[in-house]
Amino acid sequence: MWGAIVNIANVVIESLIYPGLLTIIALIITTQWFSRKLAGRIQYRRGPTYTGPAGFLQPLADLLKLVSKEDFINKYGLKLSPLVVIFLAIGALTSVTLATPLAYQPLFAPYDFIVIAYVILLSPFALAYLALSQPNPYSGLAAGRYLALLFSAEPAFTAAMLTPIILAGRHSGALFSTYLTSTVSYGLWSLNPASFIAMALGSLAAFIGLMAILMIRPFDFPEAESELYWGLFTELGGPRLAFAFFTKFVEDIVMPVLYVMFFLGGPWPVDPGNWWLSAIVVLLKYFVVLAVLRWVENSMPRFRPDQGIRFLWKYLYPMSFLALIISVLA
Amino acid sequence: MMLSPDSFIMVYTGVIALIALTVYVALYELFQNAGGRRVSEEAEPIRYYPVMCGWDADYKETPPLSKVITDILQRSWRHLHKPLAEGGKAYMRDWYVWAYIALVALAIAALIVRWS
Repeated sequence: MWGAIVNIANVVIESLIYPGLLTIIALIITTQWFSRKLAGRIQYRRGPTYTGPAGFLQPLADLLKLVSKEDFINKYGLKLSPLVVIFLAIGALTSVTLATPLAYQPLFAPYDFIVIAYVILLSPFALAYLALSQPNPYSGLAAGRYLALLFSAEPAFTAAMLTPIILAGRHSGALFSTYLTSTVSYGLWSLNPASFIAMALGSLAAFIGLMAILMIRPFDFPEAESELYWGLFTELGGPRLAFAFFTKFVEDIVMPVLYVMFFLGGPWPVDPGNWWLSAIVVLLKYFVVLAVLRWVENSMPRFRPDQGIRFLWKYLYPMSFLALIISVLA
Repeated sequence: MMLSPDSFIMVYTGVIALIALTVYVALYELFQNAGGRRVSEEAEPIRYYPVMCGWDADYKETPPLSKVITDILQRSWRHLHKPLAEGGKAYMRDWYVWAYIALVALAIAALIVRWS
């Protein structure tokens, strides 16, 4: 009885404090500050400087300003359902951190990747729904582009992420679990030559898929700043814009962390049993991936929608499904 | 903490609901009560019009989503789309294609119910 109460208390603390909601808010502030400073450096400007030391608190100031504004919708907009959907999407994305080495008591189960893959699908559709809930020609066009992008990137991205899950499940006894796969993923590169090829193809495919799902240039045509006003976010303001950004920024944290867990060895080289050292290693690797993503984003021009979709079908799909097939045969 | 798949789904659903509720209370309800809802209602009707760049502000028509998606996909496969679409239509007009589809469906159904 006492053990069950302690477990429930642990799950609640992990959900709301570490590595859940509060930590995610702190990570959003850090990663957004880091991204904006890096973009500033690449573009010969200074990035945020005004709020907090070196502008560190600017993302927090932006969040507080937006949530304090009036919740405003246009006369054709939906009022409640988009809020319910976006809160659930934030909850779903944040909860993924409980199944990573960031957690001090990670939650896992056999075949839990199916649940995780399903849960991370919720957020892009929540963003599209939020955009469509405020009728506007620009956001409608952007939502169409976004769904075409998801249709072309999500299945291939999931197939690429399944590569280490299947390899670890078949050769390392990881039970097709997200957390257990991350603890053995460093060894998957050297199981045999076929597993190396599968991991190499899978990591490349997953990285391209990651860029597409996170709408990182050259795949930012759904957002298409200045071309479609502000794309998905055109009609949003105040708290709704804050929650749309919140969802997108949590995606910017959770998806690269999953990439680190599956393809960059997770907590390796430290012992996964030491949770705080594992968390530090995973976060360090995450910041490296984030820096690469931001560097690519600020160095590339934007694809036209048909160019981007064609690229994904032509290169991402064959690569990811080939990796999947090799992982099954390896 | 290793759980059974069923318990994992239940705990996970609970965690999602808990975080969603906390975000709603802490970042929406609290801030709206503190400041957001105090903004006075303004009478200007244009305030509730969609954001447009100097066009008729009350223009509400949005492009159909399915049309945007199919248009993008058709453009991305423009070299393949036309011959495939025309060839596909020609095939679909022939009765034996439908008979073949029905036969395959019967075979799959037979496999599923283990008649074979």
